[in-house]
Amino acid sequence: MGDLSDKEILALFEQGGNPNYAFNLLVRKYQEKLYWHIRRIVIDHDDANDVIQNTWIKVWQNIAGFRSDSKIYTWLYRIATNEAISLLNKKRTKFFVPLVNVERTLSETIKSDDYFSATDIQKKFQLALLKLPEKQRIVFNLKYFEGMQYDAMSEVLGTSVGALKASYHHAVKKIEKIMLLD
Amino acid sequence: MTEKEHTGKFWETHSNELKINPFQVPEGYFDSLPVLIADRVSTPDHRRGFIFMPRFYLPAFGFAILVIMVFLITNKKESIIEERVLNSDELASVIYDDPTLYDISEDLLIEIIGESAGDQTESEQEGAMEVTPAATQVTDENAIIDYLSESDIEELIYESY
Repeated sequence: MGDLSDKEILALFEQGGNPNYAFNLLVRKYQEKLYWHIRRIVIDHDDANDVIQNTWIKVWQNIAGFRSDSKIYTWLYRIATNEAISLLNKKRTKFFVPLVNVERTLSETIKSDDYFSATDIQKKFQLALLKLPEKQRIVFNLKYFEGMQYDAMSEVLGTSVGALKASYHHAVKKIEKIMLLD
Repeated sequence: MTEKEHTGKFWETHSNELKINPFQVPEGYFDSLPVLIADRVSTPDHRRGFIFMPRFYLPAFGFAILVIMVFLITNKKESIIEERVLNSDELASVIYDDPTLYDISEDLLIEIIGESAGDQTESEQEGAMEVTPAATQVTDENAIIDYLSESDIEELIYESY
């Protein structure tokens, strides 16, 4: 079941015989990758759980309008990224919390999260990541942890390849500085 | 060792450890997630759009009620103002309180008083030419006393203005 390619799954949608079955295949194929991508952005498991569910509901609502000339996995990542950013923005709006305080809250979550198990250097590394600007952090995550190519990343984030390379470079330098200073 | 070598060495040394995912999920989470998602997408609520969600229409309904109430209250006040008629006291107080009255200059007041005094003198002179029985009664104090005596009025009430 998991061996079907993206094109084959999309073909099942287009045939219209059993869209629920095709959707289930898509969820099972990408749920873990999307979850970890979201989790690295929102940090907290409960928030990531909300975001992943909302992401799949949006996918279900819009899959009929998806153009098969695009890659489905970049489309999925784009929806997931936007949903994760929306959640952080809602938190800022809801509690009138300035930007820096949300990042501080995420740092506190890392320190107290039951579903976070790390060595000292891993924890230090995650806290250093949270000191990056939001978009720079997402670029770093996609490149460093998921090994995504810049052109795919460009489709996900709607940013030029050149800007993404610069952003990743700045992120690496900042993290090095933080890790070596402390 | 240069700074570049130092930082490059940092990533080389820690790369394996840093790439390990320190985040965890509850046991069996990824087995139950597809079922949960399938359940949610099959619920009709998610196909209706956000405008029909309670979190949207309840505040919208409250806001609509507020707008209607403000509209009704405003209209009621206007209709009261239209129907109300001022009585003489209120009218007098309005005129008394009218700040524009204090804007009249002193010279203008003197001029108006002078004119009205002149008019009065002229009318007195004209009145003197035509002597009526009533005028005679009023001007002659003795005649008044006689009148009161004849009319059996014992007490003279004199009011000076």
